[in-house]
Amino acid sequence: MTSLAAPTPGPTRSDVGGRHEHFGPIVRPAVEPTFQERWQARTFGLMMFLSGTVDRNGDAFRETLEQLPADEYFAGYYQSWLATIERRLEEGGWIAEGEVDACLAGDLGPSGVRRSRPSLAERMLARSLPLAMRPLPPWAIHLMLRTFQYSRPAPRRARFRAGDEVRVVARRPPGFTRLPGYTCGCRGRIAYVHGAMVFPDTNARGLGEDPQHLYTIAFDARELWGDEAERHASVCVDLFESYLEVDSP
Amino acid sequence: MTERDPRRALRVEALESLLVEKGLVDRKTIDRIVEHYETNVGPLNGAKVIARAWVDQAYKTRLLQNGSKAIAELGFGGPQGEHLVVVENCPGVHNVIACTLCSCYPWPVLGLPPSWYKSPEYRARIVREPRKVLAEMGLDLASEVEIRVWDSSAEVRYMVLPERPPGSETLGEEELALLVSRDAMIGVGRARTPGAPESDAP
Repeated sequence: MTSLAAPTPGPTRSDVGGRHEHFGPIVRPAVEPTFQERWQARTFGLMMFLSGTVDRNGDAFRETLEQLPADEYFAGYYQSWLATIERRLEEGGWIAEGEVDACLAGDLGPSGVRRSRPSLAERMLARSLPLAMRPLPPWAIHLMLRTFQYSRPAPRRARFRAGDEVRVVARRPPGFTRLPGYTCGCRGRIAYVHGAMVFPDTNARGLGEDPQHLYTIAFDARELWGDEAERHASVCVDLFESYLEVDSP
Repeated sequence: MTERDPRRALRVEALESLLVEKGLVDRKTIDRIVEHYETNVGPLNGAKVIARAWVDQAYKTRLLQNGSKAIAELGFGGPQGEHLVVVENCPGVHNVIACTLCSCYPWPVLGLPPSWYKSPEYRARIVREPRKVLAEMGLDLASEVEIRVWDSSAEVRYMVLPERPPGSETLGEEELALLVSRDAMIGVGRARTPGAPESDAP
């Protein structure tokens, strides 16, 4: 790979921050229901159900989403979710490629590979899902937050402290990453230290949780955008430790 | 295909039927999930949190120190709310939230994000020209006010604690909550002044 290489289609698709090709009017409907269409609600419900049972890796879901062809990725939020759900189910062996199309074509017979049924644990999770779908007492919320949070015991001490000056690495790591491209090479100051969390870049690819310290870095707008920056503006971005270097002047 | 294309509806229905047949999902649970997000999870939750912070200094301190924990005191929490950080507006500083890489949003307090928040246009522009975007959205800020944009690209979700509006000094918590719109908690608007017309449905 050279630095002059054109952006690869998959990994950079979602990296829209600051990019002029996406500039345009922001259209705000006066009133917007939670779901504009019923199919959007069903897609949301399906995704939530599966993310609680057989497809619990949210990072892997995002990675698949970002690998969609551009027309599907930018086609609309729930449309891209639907395409992602189908791909995830195919990759997991829960449905066969083309099985949904076969259903739509009226071919109702069983087709393709059919993996074994969900495990007992997955079925129990599915049964307990409705219990969480109501207003809960604070103790239940604490329990849920503790069970599903991304915080992990820190494998090593945090390299940086609040107030430290740091520099973001010059390039985005290849493949799935949570490093917004517009921060690359820029200097910033640590605003928050959040502790160690699951590292999405490895977790998305099934390479383990590899917990890393997460920080919020405050960047002066001029550092990010140069002379065209607006005055009195800053951007605070959540970045993992491996995206950062000690700022050596 | 557009969002309104009937083929979308058919496709979701086919997929759902297939998964029900395979014993992977259960329709009633999906109904329950949808209903929960349509009725229990929305910006009214966040508005109650903000109103509490306005009237109770000790609560506000806890909220700014540990968002998720203080928000759970009022009975709100769940997916996309594991690490909530509340950022406070003051006369010299205005905060606004975004997610440039996807559409991360504090669901338990604001509900599901509006379509414009998820649009590539908002995601691309808000980090680069926030003052211009806010002005377009009807929020003109004095040039000396510092704008802080929070790009929640990883696991943290942000919510803005707007300034308490003038003329609200005598109001109680419930009345105050009615002044807090979703847009004010995203940071693309202000809390409504008592008596002023609602700018957006909360």
